[in-house]
Amino acid sequence: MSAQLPGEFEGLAADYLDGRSTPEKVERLSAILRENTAARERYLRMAAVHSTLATEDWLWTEQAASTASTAAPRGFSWRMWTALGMAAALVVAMVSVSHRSPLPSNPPVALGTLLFSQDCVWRMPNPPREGERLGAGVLKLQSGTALVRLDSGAEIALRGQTEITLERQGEIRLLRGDIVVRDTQELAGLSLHTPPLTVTDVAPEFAVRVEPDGTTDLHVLVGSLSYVTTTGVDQTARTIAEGEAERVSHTAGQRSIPLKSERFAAVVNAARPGPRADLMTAYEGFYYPPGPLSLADGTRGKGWLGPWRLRNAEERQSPSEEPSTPVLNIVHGQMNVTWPVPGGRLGMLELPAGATYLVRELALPLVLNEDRITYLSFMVRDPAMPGPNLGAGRGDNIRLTFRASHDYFGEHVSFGIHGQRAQILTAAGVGFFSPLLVPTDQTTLWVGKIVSRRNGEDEVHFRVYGEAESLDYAEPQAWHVVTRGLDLRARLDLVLISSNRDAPRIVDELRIGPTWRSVAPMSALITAAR
Amino acid sequence: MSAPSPNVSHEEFMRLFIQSERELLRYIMATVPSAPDARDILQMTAVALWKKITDYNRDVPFTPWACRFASNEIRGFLRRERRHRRWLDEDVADLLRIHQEQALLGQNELSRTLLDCLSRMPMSQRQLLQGYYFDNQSAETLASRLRRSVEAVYKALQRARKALHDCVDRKTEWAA
Repeated sequence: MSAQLPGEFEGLAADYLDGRSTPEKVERLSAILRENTAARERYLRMAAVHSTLATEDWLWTEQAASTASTAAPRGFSWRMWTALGMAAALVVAMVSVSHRSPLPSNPPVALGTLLFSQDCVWRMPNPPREGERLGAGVLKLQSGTALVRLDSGAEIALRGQTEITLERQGEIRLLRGDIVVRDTQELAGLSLHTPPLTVTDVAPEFAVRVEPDGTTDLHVLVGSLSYVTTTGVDQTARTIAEGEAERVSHTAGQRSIPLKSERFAAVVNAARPGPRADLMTAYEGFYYPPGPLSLADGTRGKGWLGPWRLRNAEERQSPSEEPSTPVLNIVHGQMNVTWPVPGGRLGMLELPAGATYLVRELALPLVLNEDRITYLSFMVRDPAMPGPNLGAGRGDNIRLTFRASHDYFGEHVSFGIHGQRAQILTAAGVGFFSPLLVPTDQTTLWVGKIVSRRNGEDEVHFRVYGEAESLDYAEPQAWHVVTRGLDLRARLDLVLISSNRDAPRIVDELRIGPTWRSVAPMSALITAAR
Repeated sequence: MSAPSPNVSHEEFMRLFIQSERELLRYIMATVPSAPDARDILQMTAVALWKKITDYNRDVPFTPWACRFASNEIRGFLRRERRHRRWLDEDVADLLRIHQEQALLGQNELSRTLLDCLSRMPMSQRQLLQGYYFDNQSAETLASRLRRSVEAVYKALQRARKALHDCVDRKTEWAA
């Protein structure tokens, strides 16, 4: 019996679970499992994940709920059919049918996101913008530093004159220039092509430089990397170990060269990816003296046309009577702000117990039938209610909604929390829900992203941060809620804060801007070190 | 098929079985990871359970009792399939079952943790796992759809599962 697992074990076990073992591999796996207790325990953990993914339908339907609550209902799951089959079996025979809808036939066209661009000059007629979702195509950078995150997980830093093509999911081609790639998750793998070679098994961190004549330098910073040359007769895979580098060219073949590349974090940090609050298009910090403030005096902030107001008669539907009082109750120091928000502990808005609806008009509306990216952030705290903590009540909700003044009940985009779950609501009752519960009894920071497109699907993303979570230099890889199948055309010029709670609630720091860095409260000296 | 015990009705048996069937299926899939084969074994287990329901004592939990029947069906399956050399040896399956009860106990927690870990994965990996596990698409179909090699798809699946294992291990002390 040994606690050590043979190096081949994980592969043997994974092949067995996938049903692709040869008899020899099964025999070898059996031998290991027979002799090694640790291997049996590890195998059973792997099998538990495999079987849970295969049998717990709700894992996927919960995931689907976070993408589209109004998606067409799925067919019967195997479980329902098995149950029906059981009933039949007791009379005649057992039946088991697996009937599930396939994946969408048209997978998303976006392959990645431009996380940030610092001092970038692009040689493209329509340069990408920070936060833009990137489809298949070429990126031509003339100068500056840009960071792309592929949806498959890898992050690519481009520096200076660099030309790179996103070919398909997890597959890129470097035509010339410098990149540093970080793929620590190695979830889906990454294929990288250059003129003379293809990297078939990427290292967690490596750098590539392609000269104008195609000569390629590979520098392995962490882990090891395998590649094959795409010219010549020798198609044997070569491996470069950590700390080593090779130069490959059409004419001179391969040779070792000294490792000479900065680490990924150093490249990103050199670009100083700090906050860009100057880019905010609208801001409300509720920076007023403490105490009641008439709505008409709620004129501070920037990017607004006029002060906060109550809903007018045409905007009231449910409830039809206006429950809110025409006063902003400003408090100070009522919210624990763990993020670097200048002045964040001073003015903040206390929403009274009961229902509240406050509206303010944006100077720069969100135009959803144009190619735009809009980010927002918002802080919310629900102070503990007296008495036993029974959790969020059924009617307990808080929403930040963008609406159109000319069609108030038409298309809208609404971010909110209902029953401890993050939600995005849009027109016609279309809702998207997170399966995760948001933190309670603490300040939460909401971050939303709206990717609107003149042609094509719009995307809305939503994430709720707890006090212990810090914000990175770029948007998160995983959002709590992501929409699917949206095509919105509205021009949204109103912001509505709506709240319903049995006790007061505090909100603050509403920010709207075109980039992550314009709205995310992050340190000015944030680093990309990991 | 013998008649059931009058004190365990058809409805009660159905309720007990449906409550346990996913645990039973996962129990079977540890040895026979192919979902279609495992479901066949599950159905044979159900039939065997129904035949012996008169022996069931309500004072003992149903799932462990049912797992004994599933074990018998797994052994029968492995014997029938032995010549194909596709499955683990019977003695290895018996050894695995010694460890399995513990794994079953933590299932609810595992499922919740997996949901959390899945939600943190990049969309492309989630879709890959969903296509493979939920939509029952073969690696070949996925490879064609994603324009990647079958080998690359299997590798991606293995990496995704490895990431889930690591995530689960981080979130629980399961690995301890």
